[in-house]
Amino acid sequence: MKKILLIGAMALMVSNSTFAGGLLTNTNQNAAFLRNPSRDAVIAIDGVYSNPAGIAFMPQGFHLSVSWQAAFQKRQMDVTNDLFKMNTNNPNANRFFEGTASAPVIPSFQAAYVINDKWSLMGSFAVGGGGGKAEFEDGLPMFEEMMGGALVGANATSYSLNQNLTGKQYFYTFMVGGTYKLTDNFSVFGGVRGVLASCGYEGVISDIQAGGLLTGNQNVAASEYLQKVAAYASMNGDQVAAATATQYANLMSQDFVLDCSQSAFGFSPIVGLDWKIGKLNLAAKYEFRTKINLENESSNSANIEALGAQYPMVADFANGKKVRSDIPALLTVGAMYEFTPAVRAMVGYHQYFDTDAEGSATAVTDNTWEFTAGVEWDVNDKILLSLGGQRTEYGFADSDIKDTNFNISSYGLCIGGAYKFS
Amino acid sequence: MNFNVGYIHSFYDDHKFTNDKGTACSYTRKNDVVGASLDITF
Repeated sequence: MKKILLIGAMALMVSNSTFAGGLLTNTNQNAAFLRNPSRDAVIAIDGVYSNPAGIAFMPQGFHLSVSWQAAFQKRQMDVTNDLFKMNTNNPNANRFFEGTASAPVIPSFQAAYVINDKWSLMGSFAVGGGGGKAEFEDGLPMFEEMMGGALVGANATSYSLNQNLTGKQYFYTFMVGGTYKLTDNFSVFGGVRGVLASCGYEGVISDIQAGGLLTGNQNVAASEYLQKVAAYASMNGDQVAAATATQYANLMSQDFVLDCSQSAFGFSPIVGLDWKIGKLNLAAKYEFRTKINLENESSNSANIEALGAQYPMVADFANGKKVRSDIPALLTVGAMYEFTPAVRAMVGYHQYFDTDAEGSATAVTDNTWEFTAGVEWDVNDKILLSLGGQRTEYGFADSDIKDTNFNISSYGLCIGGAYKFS
Repeated sequence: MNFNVGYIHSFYDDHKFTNDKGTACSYTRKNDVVGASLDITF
Protein backbone atom coordinates (compact mmCIF):
# COMPACT_ATOMS: atom_id res chain seq x y z
CA MET A 1 0.00 0.00 0.00
CA LYS A 2 2.81 2.40 0.75
CA LYS A 3 3.94 2.18 -2.83
CA ILE A 4 0.92 4.25 -3.77
CA LEU A 5 2.98 7.09 -2.50
CA LEU A 6 5.31 6.95 -5.47
CA ILE A 7 2.69 8.48 -7.76
CA GLY A 8 4.38 11.84 -7.85
CA ALA A 9 7.82 10.46 -8.58
CA MET A 10 6.51 8.63 -11.61
CA ALA A 11 5.26 11.76 -13.20
CA LEU A 12 8.75 13.18 -13.04
CA MET A 13 10.05 11.01 -15.81
CA VAL A 14 7.23 10.50 -18.29
CA SER A 15 8.22 13.29 -20.60
CA ASN A 16 12.00 13.26 -20.57
CA SER A 17 14.29 12.94 -23.54
CA THR A 18 12.00 13.36 -26.48
CA PHE A 19 14.78 13.87 -29.02
CA ALA A 20 18.36 12.86 -29.65
CA GLY A 21 20.90 13.64 -26.98
CA GLY A 22 21.37 13.41 -23.25
CA LEU A 23 18.91 13.15 -20.41
CA LEU A 24 17.98 16.83 -20.58
CA THR A 25 19.85 17.93 -23.71
CA ASN A 26 18.63 17.92 -27.30
CA THR A 27 21.51 17.87 -29.76
CA ASN A 28 19.21 18.16 -32.77
CA GLN A 29 18.91 21.93 -32.59
CA ASN A 30 18.91 22.37 -36.37
CA ALA A 31 17.40 20.18 -39.10
CA ALA A 32 20.91 19.75 -40.55
CA PHE A 33 21.50 17.36 -37.64
CA LEU A 34 18.81 15.06 -39.04
CA ARG A 35 20.67 14.57 -42.32
CA ASN A 36 24.02 14.09 -40.59
CA PRO A 37 24.28 14.02 -36.76
CA SER A 38 28.05 14.45 -36.66
CA ARG A 39 28.09 18.26 -36.47
CA ASP A 40 30.74 18.84 -33.78
CA ALA A 41 33.39 20.09 -36.22
CA VAL A 42 31.35 21.52 -39.08
CA ILE A 43 31.92 25.03 -40.31
CA ALA A 44 28.37 26.08 -41.10
CA ILE A 45 25.62 28.26 -39.67
CA ASP A 46 24.13 25.41 -37.60
CA GLY A 47 27.55 25.31 -35.93
CA VAL A 48 26.31 28.22 -33.79
CA TYR A 49 25.06 25.37 -31.61
CA SER A 50 27.31 22.43 -32.48
CA ASN A 51 30.66 24.17 -33.18
CA PRO A 52 30.42 27.87 -32.33
CA ALA A 53 34.17 28.46 -32.58
CA GLY A 54 34.02 27.33 -36.21
CA ILE A 55 31.83 30.33 -37.10
CA ALA A 56 35.06 32.34 -37.18
CA PHE A 57 35.99 30.60 -40.44
CA MET A 58 32.75 31.43 -42.25
CA PRO A 59 32.67 34.21 -44.85
CA GLN A 60 32.23 37.74 -43.56
CA GLY A 61 28.63 38.89 -43.39
CA PHE A 62 25.33 37.93 -41.76
CA HIS A 63 24.22 34.30 -41.71
CA LEU A 64 20.83 32.99 -40.62
CA SER A 65 19.31 29.53 -40.37
CA VAL A 66 15.62 29.00 -39.66
CA SER A 67 14.71 25.43 -38.84
CA TRP A 68 11.60 23.30 -38.35
CA GLN A 69 11.44 19.78 -36.96
CA ALA A 70 8.63 17.38 -36.12
CA ALA A 71 9.14 14.51 -33.68
CA PHE A 72 6.97 11.46 -33.07
CA GLN A 73 7.73 8.95 -30.37
CA LYS A 74 6.23 5.90 -28.69
CA ARG A 75 7.19 4.27 -25.40
CA GLN A 76 5.98 0.72 -25.24
CA MET A 77 5.69 -1.70 -22.33
CA ASP A 78 4.78 -5.38 -22.61
CA VAL A 79 4.20 -6.67 -19.08
CA THR A 80 3.08 -10.00 -17.64
CA ASN A 81 1.76 -10.55 -14.11
CA ASP A 82 -1.00 -12.88 -12.82
CA LEU A 83 -2.20 -9.98 -10.67
CA PHE A 84 -3.62 -8.31 -13.77
CA LYS A 85 -6.09 -11.21 -14.22
CA MET A 86 -7.99 -9.83 -11.22
CA ASN A 87 -8.66 -6.53 -12.97
CA THR A 88 -12.28 -6.92 -14.03
CA ASN A 89 -11.85 -4.15 -16.63
CA ASN A 90 -9.14 -6.13 -18.46
CA PRO A 91 -8.61 -9.59 -16.91
CA ASN A 92 -5.45 -10.58 -18.79
CA ALA A 93 -2.03 -11.44 -17.37
CA ASN A 94 -0.35 -10.06 -20.51
CA ARG A 95 -0.85 -6.35 -20.92
CA PHE A 96 0.42 -3.68 -23.28
CA PHE A 97 0.89 -0.07 -22.19
CA GLU A 98 1.91 2.66 -24.60
CA GLY A 99 2.83 6.28 -24.23
CA THR A 100 2.79 8.58 -27.23
CA ALA A 101 4.74 11.79 -27.53
CA SER A 102 4.48 14.16 -30.42
CA ALA A 103 5.87 17.58 -31.22
CA PRO A 104 4.74 18.55 -34.74
CA VAL A 105 6.42 21.96 -34.74
CA ILE A 106 9.82 22.42 -33.13
CA PRO A 107 11.24 25.75 -34.23
CA SER A 108 14.80 26.96 -33.90
CA PHE A 109 17.13 29.53 -35.40
CA GLN A 110 20.81 30.30 -35.43
CA ALA A 111 22.26 33.63 -36.51
CA ALA A 112 25.85 34.82 -36.84
CA TYR A 113 27.57 38.00 -37.94
CA VAL A 114 31.15 37.56 -39.04
CA ILE A 115 32.42 41.08 -38.50
CA ASN A 116 35.92 40.84 -39.88
CA ASP A 117 38.87 38.49 -40.08
CA LYS A 118 39.08 38.32 -36.27
CA TRP A 119 35.67 38.76 -34.66
CA SER A 120 32.20 37.30 -35.03
CA LEU A 121 29.03 37.41 -32.97
CA MET A 122 26.17 34.93 -32.80
CA GLY A 123 22.88 34.04 -31.16
CA SER A 124 20.38 31.20 -31.25
CA PHE A 125 17.06 29.89 -30.00
CA ALA A 126 16.04 26.25 -29.73
CA VAL A 127 14.21 23.75 -27.58
CA GLY A 128 17.40 22.60 -25.90
CA GLY A 129 15.82 19.95 -23.72
CA GLY A 130 12.58 17.99 -23.49
CA GLY A 131 10.28 19.36 -26.13
CA GLY A 132 7.31 17.05 -26.15
CA LYS A 133 4.13 16.01 -24.48
CA ALA A 134 3.90 12.34 -23.54
CA GLU A 135 0.53 10.80 -22.85
CA PHE A 136 -0.14 7.37 -21.36
CA GLU A 137 -3.86 6.94 -22.03
CA ASP A 138 -4.02 3.77 -19.94
CA GLY A 139 -1.56 4.96 -17.33
CA LEU A 140 1.43 2.95 -16.24
CA PRO A 141 1.65 -0.67 -15.12
CA MET A 142 3.26 0.44 -11.87
CA PHE A 143 0.03 2.16 -10.84
CA GLU A 144 -1.93 -1.02 -11.36
CA GLU A 145 0.68 -3.10 -9.55
CA MET A 146 0.47 -0.73 -6.60
CA MET A 147 -3.28 -0.25 -6.39
CA GLY A 148 -4.24 -3.78 -7.39
CA GLY A 149 -1.49 -5.29 -5.29
CA ALA A 150 -2.56 -3.30 -2.24
CA LEU A 151 -6.20 -4.31 -2.58
CA VAL A 152 -5.37 -7.96 -3.19
CA GLY A 153 -3.14 -7.69 -0.12
CA ALA A 154 -6.31 -6.72 1.74
CA ASN A 155 -7.88 -10.01 0.57
CA ALA A 156 -9.68 -8.60 -2.47
CA THR A 157 -10.30 -11.22 -5.15
CA SER A 158 -10.94 -8.62 -7.84
CA TYR A 159 -10.30 -4.95 -8.49
CA SER A 160 -10.64 -2.34 -11.19
CA LEU A 161 -9.44 1.18 -11.83
CA ASN A 162 -9.03 3.78 -14.56
CA GLN A 163 -5.89 5.79 -15.01
CA ASN A 164 -4.12 8.14 -17.37
CA LEU A 165 -1.05 10.31 -17.19
CA THR A 166 0.33 13.18 -19.25
CA GLY A 167 3.63 14.99 -18.90
CA LYS A 168 5.22 17.79 -20.87
CA GLN A 169 8.64 19.30 -20.61
CA TYR A 170 10.13 22.20 -22.57
CA PHE A 171 13.55 23.73 -21.97
CA TYR A 172 13.64 26.81 -24.22
CA THR A 173 17.25 27.77 -24.82
CA PHE A 174 18.68 31.14 -25.84
CA MET A 175 22.39 31.60 -26.49
CA VAL A 176 24.60 34.58 -27.33
CA GLY A 177 28.35 34.60 -27.79
CA GLY A 178 31.33 35.58 -29.87
CA THR A 179 34.46 34.15 -31.44
CA TYR A 180 37.95 35.50 -31.78
CA LYS A 181 40.45 34.14 -34.27
CA LEU A 182 43.79 33.89 -32.46
CA THR A 183 45.65 32.81 -35.60
CA ASP A 184 44.64 32.18 -39.19
CA ASN A 185 43.68 28.61 -38.27
CA PHE A 186 42.76 28.72 -34.58
CA SER A 187 39.72 30.32 -32.97
CA VAL A 188 38.09 30.42 -29.55
CA PHE A 189 34.49 30.96 -28.51
CA GLY A 190 32.80 32.24 -25.36
CA GLY A 191 29.09 32.57 -24.75
CA VAL A 192 26.26 32.29 -22.30
CA ARG A 193 23.12 30.21 -22.49
CA GLY A 194 19.81 31.02 -20.83
CA VAL A 195 17.23 28.29 -20.27
CA LEU A 196 13.55 28.84 -19.60
CA ALA A 197 12.10 25.58 -18.27
CA SER A 198 8.38 24.87 -18.44
CA CYS A 199 7.02 21.49 -17.33
CA GLY A 200 3.61 20.09 -16.47
CA TYR A 201 2.22 16.83 -15.14
CA GLU A 202 -1.39 15.72 -15.04
CA GLY A 203 -2.52 12.32 -13.83
CA VAL A 204 -5.68 10.68 -12.55
CA ILE A 205 -6.37 7.35 -10.92
CA SER A 206 -10.13 7.06 -10.67
CA ASP A 207 -12.98 4.63 -10.11
CA ILE A 208 -10.92 2.36 -7.88
CA GLN A 209 -13.01 -0.64 -6.95
CA ALA A 210 -12.47 -3.93 -5.15
CA GLY A 211 -14.44 -7.04 -4.33
CA GLY A 212 -14.05 -10.11 -2.14
CA LEU A 213 -15.85 -12.34 0.32
CA LEU A 214 -16.87 -9.32 2.37
CA THR A 215 -18.79 -7.90 -0.61
CA GLY A 216 -20.13 -11.18 -2.01
CA ASN A 217 -17.35 -11.12 -4.61
CA GLN A 218 -18.90 -8.03 -6.20
CA ASN A 219 -16.80 -4.96 -6.91
CA VAL A 220 -17.67 -1.91 -4.83
CA ALA A 221 -15.84 1.36 -4.29
CA ALA A 222 -12.38 0.61 -2.90
CA SER A 223 -13.02 2.87 0.11
CA GLU A 224 -16.21 0.96 0.90
CA TYR A 225 -14.41 -2.34 0.55
CA LEU A 226 -11.58 -1.20 2.83
CA GLN A 227 -14.08 0.05 5.43
CA LYS A 228 -15.56 -3.44 5.52
CA VAL A 229 -12.03 -4.85 5.89
CA ALA A 230 -11.43 -2.43 8.78
CA ALA A 231 -14.69 -3.39 10.49
CA TYR A 232 -13.94 -7.08 10.09
CA ALA A 233 -10.39 -6.64 11.48
CA SER A 234 -11.69 -4.62 14.41
CA MET A 235 -14.30 -7.25 15.17
CA ASN A 236 -11.51 -9.82 15.30
CA GLY A 237 -9.37 -7.67 17.60
CA ASP A 238 -6.73 -6.68 15.05
CA GLN A 239 -6.76 -2.95 15.71
CA VAL A 240 -3.54 -2.28 13.76
CA ALA A 241 -4.97 -3.80 10.58
CA ALA A 242 -8.22 -1.96 11.20
CA ALA A 243 -6.44 1.37 11.52
CA THR A 244 -4.39 0.77 8.38
CA ALA A 245 -7.45 -0.21 6.35
CA THR A 246 -9.31 2.85 7.63
CA GLN A 247 -6.42 5.12 6.67
CA TYR A 248 -6.37 3.84 3.13
CA ALA A 249 -10.14 3.80 2.88
CA ASN A 250 -9.98 7.53 3.53
CA LEU A 251 -7.26 8.01 0.93
CA MET A 252 -9.28 6.11 -1.68
CA SER A 253 -12.50 7.92 -0.92
CA GLN A 254 -11.71 10.29 -3.80
CA ASP A 255 -9.79 10.09 -7.08
CA PHE A 256 -6.04 10.65 -7.00
CA VAL A 257 -5.51 13.78 -9.10
CA LEU A 258 -2.07 15.17 -9.86
CA ASP A 259 -2.01 18.59 -11.51
CA CYS A 260 1.37 20.29 -11.29
CA SER A 261 3.04 22.94 -13.44
CA GLN A 262 6.70 23.81 -13.01
CA SER A 263 8.84 26.64 -14.28
CA ALA A 264 12.36 27.96 -13.77
CA PHE A 265 15.13 29.96 -15.38
CA GLY A 266 18.81 29.09 -15.44
CA PHE A 267 21.93 30.11 -17.30
CA SER A 268 25.41 28.75 -17.91
CA PRO A 269 28.57 29.65 -19.84
CA ILE A 270 29.75 27.84 -22.95
CA VAL A 271 33.30 27.80 -24.33
CA GLY A 272 34.74 26.29 -27.49
CA LEU A 273 37.69 26.14 -29.84
CA ASP A 274 38.35 25.25 -33.46
CA TRP A 275 41.65 24.31 -35.08
CA LYS A 276 42.06 23.95 -38.83
CA ILE A 277 44.97 21.79 -39.98
CA GLY A 278 44.88 21.65 -43.75
CA LYS A 279 42.01 19.38 -44.78
CA LEU A 280 41.36 18.44 -41.15
CA ASN A 281 39.23 20.51 -38.80
CA LEU A 282 39.18 19.79 -35.08
CA ALA A 283 36.75 21.34 -32.62
CA ALA A 284 35.63 21.11 -29.00
CA LYS A 285 32.92 22.69 -26.89
CA TYR A 286 32.08 22.62 -23.21
CA GLU A 287 28.64 23.55 -21.89
CA PHE A 288 28.73 24.13 -18.16
CA ARG A 289 26.07 22.62 -15.91
CA THR A 290 22.87 24.67 -15.86
CA LYS A 291 21.23 24.90 -12.45
CA ILE A 292 17.48 24.55 -12.86
CA ASN A 293 15.35 25.05 -9.75
CA LEU A 294 11.77 24.32 -10.81
CA GLU A 295 8.99 25.97 -8.82
CA ASN A 296 5.64 24.19 -8.59
CA GLU A 297 2.20 25.62 -9.17
CA SER A 298 -0.13 22.77 -8.25
CA SER A 299 -3.81 21.96 -7.89
CA ASN A 300 -3.57 18.41 -6.61
CA SER A 301 -6.36 16.47 -4.92
CA ALA A 302 -6.45 16.50 -1.13
CA ASN A 303 -5.32 12.87 -0.88
CA ILE A 304 -2.20 13.67 -2.93
CA GLU A 305 -1.47 16.60 -0.64
CA ALA A 306 -2.08 14.39 2.40
CA LEU A 307 0.43 11.87 1.13
CA GLY A 308 2.88 14.67 0.49
CA ALA A 309 2.89 15.62 4.13
CA GLN A 310 4.26 12.18 4.90
CA TYR A 311 6.38 11.29 1.91
CA PRO A 312 9.00 13.56 0.26
CA MET A 313 8.51 12.12 -3.25
CA VAL A 314 4.90 13.26 -3.34
CA ALA A 315 5.76 16.47 -1.55
CA ASP A 316 7.93 17.36 -4.56
CA PHE A 317 4.67 18.20 -6.38
CA ALA A 318 3.20 20.35 -3.64
CA ASN A 319 2.18 23.87 -4.54
CA GLY A 320 5.09 26.29 -4.18
CA LYS A 321 7.72 23.59 -3.73
CA LYS A 322 11.07 24.01 -5.53
CA VAL A 323 12.64 20.97 -7.22
CA ARG A 324 16.12 20.78 -8.79
CA SER A 325 16.44 19.44 -12.32
CA ASP A 326 19.87 20.54 -13.54
CA ILE A 327 20.96 20.22 -17.16
CA PRO A 328 24.21 18.23 -17.00
CA ALA A 329 27.46 19.70 -18.30
CA LEU A 330 28.47 18.51 -21.77
CA LEU A 331 31.83 18.14 -23.50
CA THR A 332 31.81 17.61 -27.27
CA VAL A 333 34.80 16.93 -29.48
CA GLY A 334 34.72 16.43 -33.21
CA ALA A 335 36.76 16.11 -36.36
CA MET A 336 35.96 16.74 -40.00
CA TYR A 337 38.22 15.67 -42.88
CA GLU A 338 37.94 16.69 -46.49
CA PHE A 339 38.89 13.68 -48.59
CA THR A 340 38.18 15.51 -51.83
CA PRO A 341 36.69 18.93 -52.52
CA ALA A 342 33.31 17.15 -52.79
CA VAL A 343 33.49 14.52 -50.03
CA ARG A 344 33.79 15.14 -46.29
CA ALA A 345 33.63 12.76 -43.33
CA MET A 346 32.97 13.62 -39.70
CA VAL A 347 33.13 11.97 -36.31
CA GLY A 348 32.15 13.27 -32.89
CA TYR A 349 32.00 12.28 -29.25
CA HIS A 350 29.76 13.67 -26.49
CA GLN A 351 30.41 13.21 -22.80
CA TYR A 352 27.61 14.26 -20.46
CA PHE A 353 28.39 14.76 -16.77
CA ASP A 354 25.09 13.47 -15.42
CA THR A 355 26.42 12.37 -12.04
CA ASP A 356 27.43 15.96 -11.20
CA ALA A 357 23.96 17.37 -11.86
CA GLU A 358 21.35 17.74 -9.14
CA GLY A 359 17.85 16.52 -9.83
CA SER A 360 16.45 13.56 -11.71
CA ALA A 361 19.73 12.89 -13.53
CA THR A 362 21.50 12.04 -10.28
CA ALA A 363 19.90 8.59 -10.30
CA VAL A 364 22.33 7.52 -13.02
CA THR A 365 25.05 4.99 -12.28
CA ASP A 366 27.39 6.41 -14.88
CA ASN A 367 27.53 9.32 -17.32
CA THR A 368 25.87 9.34 -20.73
CA TRP A 369 28.09 9.26 -23.82
CA GLU A 370 27.42 9.49 -27.54
CA PHE A 371 29.41 8.74 -30.66
CA THR A 372 28.49 10.14 -34.04
CA ALA A 373 29.78 9.63 -37.58
CA GLY A 374 28.69 11.00 -40.91
CA VAL A 375 29.64 11.68 -44.49
CA GLU A 376 28.61 14.40 -46.94
CA TRP A 377 28.89 14.36 -50.72
CA ASP A 378 28.51 17.38 -52.97
CA VAL A 379 26.95 15.66 -55.96
CA ASN A 380 27.29 18.88 -57.94
CA ASP A 381 27.26 22.63 -57.33
CA LYS A 382 23.61 22.47 -56.26
CA ILE A 383 22.96 19.17 -54.51
CA LEU A 384 24.46 17.69 -51.34
CA LEU A 385 23.64 14.25 -49.95
CA SER A 386 24.52 13.10 -46.45
CA LEU A 387 24.27 10.07 -44.23
CA GLY A 388 25.19 9.45 -40.63
CA GLY A 389 24.53 7.64 -37.41
CA GLN A 390 24.96 7.90 -33.71
CA ARG A 391 25.06 5.70 -30.61
CA THR A 392 23.66 7.05 -27.36
CA GLU A 393 24.57 5.07 -24.25
CA TYR A 394 22.91 6.07 -20.98
CA GLY A 395 24.58 5.30 -17.68
CA PHE A 396 21.69 3.48 -16.03
CA ALA A 397 21.95 0.06 -14.44
CA ASP A 398 19.43 -2.48 -15.77
CA SER A 399 17.48 -2.24 -12.52
CA ASP A 400 17.01 1.50 -12.99
CA ILE A 401 15.00 1.17 -16.22
CA LYS A 402 11.33 1.24 -15.23
CA ASP A 403 8.04 3.02 -15.89
CA THR A 404 9.54 6.14 -14.43
CA ASN A 405 12.75 5.97 -16.43
CA PHE A 406 12.41 5.34 -20.14
CA ASN A 407 15.89 6.51 -21.09
CA ILE A 408 16.90 3.46 -23.13
CA SER A 409 20.14 3.46 -25.09
CA SER A 410 19.76 3.67 -28.85
CA TYR A 411 21.25 3.85 -32.31
CA GLY A 412 20.17 6.61 -34.66
CA LEU A 413 20.28 6.52 -38.46
CA CYS A 414 20.18 9.84 -40.28
CA ILE A 415 19.73 10.63 -43.95
CA GLY A 416 19.03 13.74 -45.96
CA GLY A 417 20.37 16.36 -48.25
CA ALA A 418 20.64 20.00 -49.11
CA TYR A 419 19.96 22.15 -52.17
CA LYS A 420 21.91 25.30 -52.88
CA PHE A 421 19.78 27.98 -54.51
CA SER A 422 22.59 30.41 -55.10
CA MET B 1 20.89 30.14 -49.71
CA ASN B 2 20.70 26.45 -48.74
CA PHE B 3 17.67 24.29 -48.08
CA ASN B 4 18.31 21.26 -45.84
CA VAL B 5 16.05 18.28 -45.28
CA GLY B 6 16.71 15.34 -42.99
CA TYR B 7 15.24 12.38 -41.18
CA ILE B 8 16.39 10.35 -38.20
CA HIS B 9 15.05 7.02 -37.03
CA SER B 10 16.21 5.70 -33.69
CA PHE B 11 16.58 2.00 -32.92
CA TYR B 12 16.19 1.53 -29.19
CA ASP B 13 17.47 -1.38 -27.18
CA ASP B 14 14.72 -3.81 -26.11
CA HIS B 15 15.03 -3.84 -22.36
CA LYS B 16 13.71 -7.05 -20.74
CA PHE B 17 13.62 -7.59 -17.00
CA THR B 18 11.50 -8.76 -14.07
CA ASN B 19 10.70 -6.07 -11.54
CA ASP B 20 10.38 -6.36 -7.76
CA LYS B 21 6.64 -7.03 -8.12
CA GLY B 22 7.34 -10.16 -10.14
CA THR B 23 6.15 -8.53 -13.36
CA ALA B 24 7.98 -9.64 -16.50
CA CYS B 25 8.65 -6.46 -18.48
CA SER B 26 9.81 -5.64 -21.99
CA TYR B 27 10.36 -1.93 -22.62
CA THR B 28 11.31 -0.17 -25.82
CA ARG B 29 10.80 3.11 -27.63
CA LYS B 30 10.26 4.30 -31.17
CA ASN B 31 11.40 7.69 -32.34
CA ASP B 32 11.23 9.48 -35.68
CA VAL B 33 12.13 13.08 -36.36
CA VAL B 34 11.86 14.88 -39.69
CA GLY B 35 12.79 18.46 -40.43
CA ALA B 36 13.96 21.15 -42.81
CA SER B 37 15.94 24.32 -42.52
CA LEU B 38 16.75 27.31 -44.66
CA ASP B 39 20.21 28.90 -44.46
CA ILE B 40 20.52 32.45 -45.73
CA THR B 41 23.61 34.61 -46.10
CA PHE B 42 23.29 38.38 -46.45
